[in-house]
Amino acid sequence: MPIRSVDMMGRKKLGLFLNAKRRQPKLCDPIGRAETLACALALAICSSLSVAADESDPFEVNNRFFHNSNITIDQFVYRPVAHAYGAVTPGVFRQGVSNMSSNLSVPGIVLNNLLQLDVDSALINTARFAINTTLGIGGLLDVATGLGMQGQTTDFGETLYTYGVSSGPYLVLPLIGPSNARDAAGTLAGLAFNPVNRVLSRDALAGAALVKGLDFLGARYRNSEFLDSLLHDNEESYTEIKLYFEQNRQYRLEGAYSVEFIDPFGVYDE
Amino acid sequence: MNSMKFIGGETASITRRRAMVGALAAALIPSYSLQAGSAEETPEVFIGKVIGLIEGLLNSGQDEGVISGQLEEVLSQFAATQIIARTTLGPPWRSATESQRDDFVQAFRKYLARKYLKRLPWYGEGRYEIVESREVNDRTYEVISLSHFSGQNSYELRWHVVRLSDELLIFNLVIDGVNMLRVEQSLIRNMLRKRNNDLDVLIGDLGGIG
Repeated sequence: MPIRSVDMMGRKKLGLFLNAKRRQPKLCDPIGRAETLACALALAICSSLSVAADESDPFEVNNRFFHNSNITIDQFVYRPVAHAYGAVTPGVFRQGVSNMSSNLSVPGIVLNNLLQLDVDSALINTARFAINTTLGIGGLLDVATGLGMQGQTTDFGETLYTYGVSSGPYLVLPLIGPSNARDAAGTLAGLAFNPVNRVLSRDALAGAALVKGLDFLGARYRNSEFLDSLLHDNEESYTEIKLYFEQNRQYRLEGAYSVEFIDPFGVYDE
Repeated sequence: MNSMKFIGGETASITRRRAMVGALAAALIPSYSLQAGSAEETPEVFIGKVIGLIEGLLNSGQDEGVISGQLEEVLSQFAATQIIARTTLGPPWRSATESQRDDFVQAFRKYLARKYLKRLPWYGEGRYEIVESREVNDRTYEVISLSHFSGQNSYELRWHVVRLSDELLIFNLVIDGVNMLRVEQSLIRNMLRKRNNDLDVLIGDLGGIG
């Protein structure tokens, strides 16, 4: 019997943990020290927030505060710096940085593939990393995709999902943006337990951080029309980003199962 | 960085190379007869036609204002805007007068065209490939398309189509899991609440939002 399976609805689950979801949902199931620490940190963040009345968004007051500060930070820092970065660098440079940044994420992805008992993806990603780091000159070129080895990303948040941890309340993280309790814990675990941190020297780590930062600016620049219209001049930006995040994240974790087909005739006799 | 990546890197964005295909597409658009899908047309062929039309518009090299006007025209021809507007507005639709309904549909169409011109994940060089088409219920269909744009992750655009008096019309889009109708329901209802549930004020404001 396969340990890892896809259930009837197409949801990715670990066979061993299929029953975990049916138990009383807990924010953090017992899952090892790394995640426990990250969960503890996330809970510490959660507990410091005041609770609003709305059940679907219990931290709305705090979330809106951080949302507004993030918008201001984008307006005065991210956006202008990203535009400057886009203006002074050629596209091919930004693509190289983006490839390098993606390659640096692969060891962390493989770790999560293994934690999810997804051996196939772990093998493919390991091969991708080996090829792109060597033939792709330290990840500058994505040779592996050209060879037909498509990469698929994952993270600690998804690992927690496969262990049956529910998403928890919606959270807007300072400087980072939309998240939820589970993904915030995942983000912290990702920062704390990135295998790259244990291998690279201090200087190399600084270089890796620079690549990550530039990639972030590149993405902000590449998507400026979309992001400008979403973040600025949008009176409902808070709700819109929340819905985008929640629906997109659910889709990425659960697949097509989460797509709702609204019946056009359901409202036809208004 | 994870979540900003969501808004930025992977989900959606628009960077268009407009100049190149401009003249060609401008010439191409009138050649499409602006008619909704006919009785014989399959949903797949219908959506293929709409994709081609939008691609032509986005690459036409014209002003954003002009493109948005043309997209509005496309919406009025190929989308079930009455159903979309009614589903979005919900209960206030029932109490609205006939002229309020007409005005709302018109303002809402303008708002959708302007807004989704910036929100639709449509990049410069590349295309959408239709990968699946299925009948969901009687007279409702789902056509699934995948994006192939150079240097971008592929994402999925689902078109929900309805057959109304032998015409095929689009009534919803789902972009990488984000359900346009559900999102707009929340946003429009919030906007209405903020305006003390005064539909006329919302109709007036919608012209400038998006």
